[in-house]
Amino acid sequence: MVIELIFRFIVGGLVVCSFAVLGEVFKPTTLGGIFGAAPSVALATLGLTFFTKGNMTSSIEGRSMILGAVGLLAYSLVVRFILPNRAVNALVTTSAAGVTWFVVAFSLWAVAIR
Amino acid sequence: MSRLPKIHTDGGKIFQTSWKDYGIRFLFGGIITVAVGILAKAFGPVIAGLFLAFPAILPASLTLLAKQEGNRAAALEAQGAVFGSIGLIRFGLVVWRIAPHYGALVTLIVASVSWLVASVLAWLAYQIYRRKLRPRLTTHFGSPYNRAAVGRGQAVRQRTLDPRS
Repeated sequence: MVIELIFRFIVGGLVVCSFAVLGEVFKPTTLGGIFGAAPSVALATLGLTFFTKGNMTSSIEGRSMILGAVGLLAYSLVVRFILPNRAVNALVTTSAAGVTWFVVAFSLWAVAIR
Repeated sequence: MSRLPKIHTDGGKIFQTSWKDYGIRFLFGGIITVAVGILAKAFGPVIAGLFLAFPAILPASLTLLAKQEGNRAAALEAQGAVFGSIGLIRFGLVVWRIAPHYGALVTLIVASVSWLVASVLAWLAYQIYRRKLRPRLTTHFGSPYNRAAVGRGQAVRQRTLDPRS
């Protein structure tokens, strides 16, 4: 169990960093920005899920991920429109906007697949 | 009407980013991947799946960018993440539909390519809308706001973050 978690930590960190590098390299910024919503955690997690739990569990996670991605879309839109206001603090805005993700993702989950 | 932006790469950027920034991303990436694993054990794959698209690293990288280049640069990055999210919806869809029939490798490769294609197409569609379609719509028909402003001889404020984006 502990070894699996350590393995997850290393794989997750490496995949996230690889996508971060790609995001830095590609210009213009909005195109590089797509790597901010890269399937980094998804790749690390699903890769492990395939081997430990099998295909069907991965498929179920993929279906839920669609709803999570809609939440992320809402999150990104909120941040994109609030952040250019000079008065706001970036750390507070990007963290507080996380509420958007929870509301959208879990509302969709409650309506669609619970 | 402006031209579409050229897609190019800037390899030097990799070395401008400090190891500390990569370290923070590694930490956040590792933590969220571990958390999803724990959530899957506790609540099952339906709930854990939601968190595959949780904005864990995005707040960290946006905050770092805002600190280095200002809030507007970070907002541009967030705008890019909107297109990436559209790609993630496609990624989830592909995994959901083909994972039961194919192995891990095929599923993840096809899903990743789908993510990239959908994201770049969404980005391109927005660029075409913004540069080719919207100027034409506003000059031919004019939004009420623009028409009134132009009528008064005022400059119409461009509602864009960065003309080069």
